[in-house]
Amino acid sequence: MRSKIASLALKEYRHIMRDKRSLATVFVLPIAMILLYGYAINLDVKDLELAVVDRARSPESRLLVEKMEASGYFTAAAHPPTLADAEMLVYSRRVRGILVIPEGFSRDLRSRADRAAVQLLLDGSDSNTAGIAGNYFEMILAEVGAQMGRSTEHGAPAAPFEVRPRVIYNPELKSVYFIVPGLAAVLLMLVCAVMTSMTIAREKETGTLEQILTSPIKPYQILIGKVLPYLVIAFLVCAIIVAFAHLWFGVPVRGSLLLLAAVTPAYLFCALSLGIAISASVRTQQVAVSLAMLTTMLPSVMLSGFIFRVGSMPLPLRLISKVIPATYYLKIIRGIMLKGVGWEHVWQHCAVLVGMGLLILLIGARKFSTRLD
Amino acid sequence: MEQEIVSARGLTRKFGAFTAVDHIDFSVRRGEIFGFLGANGAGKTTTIRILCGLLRPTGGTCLVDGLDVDRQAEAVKRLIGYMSQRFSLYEDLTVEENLEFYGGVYGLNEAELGRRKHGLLKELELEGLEKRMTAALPLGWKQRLALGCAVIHRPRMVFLDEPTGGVDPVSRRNFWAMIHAMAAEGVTVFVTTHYMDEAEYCDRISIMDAGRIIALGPPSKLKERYAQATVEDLFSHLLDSSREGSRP
Repeated sequence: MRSKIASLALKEYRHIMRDKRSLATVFVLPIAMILLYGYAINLDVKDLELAVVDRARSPESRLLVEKMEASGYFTAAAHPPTLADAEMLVYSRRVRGILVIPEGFSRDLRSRADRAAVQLLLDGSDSNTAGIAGNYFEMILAEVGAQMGRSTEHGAPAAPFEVRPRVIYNPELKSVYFIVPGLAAVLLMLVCAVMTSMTIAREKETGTLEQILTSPIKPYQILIGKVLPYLVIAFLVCAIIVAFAHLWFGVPVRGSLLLLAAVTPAYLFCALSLGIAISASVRTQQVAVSLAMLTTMLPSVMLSGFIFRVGSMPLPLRLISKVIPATYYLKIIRGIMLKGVGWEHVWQHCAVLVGMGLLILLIGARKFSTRLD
Repeated sequence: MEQEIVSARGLTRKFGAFTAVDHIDFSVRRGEIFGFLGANGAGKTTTIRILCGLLRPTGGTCLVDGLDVDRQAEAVKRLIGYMSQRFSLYEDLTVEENLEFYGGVYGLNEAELGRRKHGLLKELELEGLEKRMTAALPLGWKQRLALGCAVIHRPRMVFLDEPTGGVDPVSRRNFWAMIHAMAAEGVTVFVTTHYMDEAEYCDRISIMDAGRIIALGPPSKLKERYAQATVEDLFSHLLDSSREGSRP
């Protein structure tokens, strides 16, 4: 019986190899997307232009601005005399924010009685950048405060309770680190679900499925034979993405690659099941692709936590994210690559993926029959 | 072994309110070439699909080699070959790869597949074209290849659904010679067509109209009975009288 599956798998492999377009889709697209996402969709804050309104004009205020510029995250692009002038610069988008250092800054710093306050105004029309910039600024303040023997406004004046925010796992807050491994989740979904959904729909269109169905081959043999080559390809794609992430963008691999390779099939299984379920319910490739894009690609990009944090979403979207396979694989791949977590932290996600895959496959198999009606 | 390889009794298939096949009775004898004639939409393809286990009958029974096509579809599939109207070939595979694929799907082993492949390439006059891409083949050759794919597993019976559609007259005659050679080896051939001249090549024909069989028998006998010179005349005559009869 194995030879029937092998015949199908061999045929499918030949289709893929001879269709230059789908081959390109499978291997070039991931690399193109990594480069695109790695460079273009950069959530990093770098050289953010600020207008500095320094009313203190003291050595301490100058030190703060100096430190801020040295961090590389901000540049003091302008020194307008008044806040109103600074605001004009924000409106004209010549600067992205305003730093106001009040007159009493140095006095407050020295007196130890009061907290030294500075004001950072950020252009909220780009809320993502504003949020990240705010975090960076706090880190800089903490550093300056420590150097001057003072805590930041978070800390009590008493030295023992100094607050020093520190970001772990991704200390430089590089978005590439979390975007590129996340791309694996999205691209594997693309290869598995979208391409498998097309392959069965294509045979429905050309009428070859009818021919196969008049042979004694069983539905499960058709499904396995069709899916096998894509499983291998998806694995290769995954390896390419991880290698690219590590070698090109320097994304760390802190955990075990073996563990990643061992749990990835759970996700692939889930995605392939989705592709089969889709192809079993539609008649044409076009519908299959649209449906696959709608049910796999879009949610994987938008709602899985690939770019936008699930925790910040409203409740209905948070609930939807729970039924998106990519949500779980993202936790697995980011956990293993960035945090170096082990099996004990990924097995639950794995179990959810396998469970989901089984459920979807069951639905798909019910829809797929050896008859035309 | 019984003499009839196919026997259909009251076979019916409805699609919603439309009745594609309407209580038909017929049988096919072992080793004969059985022609299924009718205009487009008469119900020929639906009947063939029921016989191949691709569609469930809505009513009636149909046995193929003693097996019920509805309840024992898997067993029936092992005995039959099927060539669909659209020459279900993979255009991006070579001639040889198409044959190998269908042989594999039927579970043929390497040695048997190799023997069968060479035999068929010779019989179907496709030798030397093994490595040719199917997409680049002329229609007449695709048709022969499709026939080869349908019979690679040596079925007892083969269903050909309009195998000569769109093919030039020389290729058609050539193709029918191959069908006759197959029948001579003992394979039962069930063939649908709307080329009336092809009916002359069949041992027996059945003429279908609007889901019903309106005549069945050897072409010569039918022509005699209805006093018509050709099958074409016979067909128009039968269609006219059948449609008049159904009018109130």
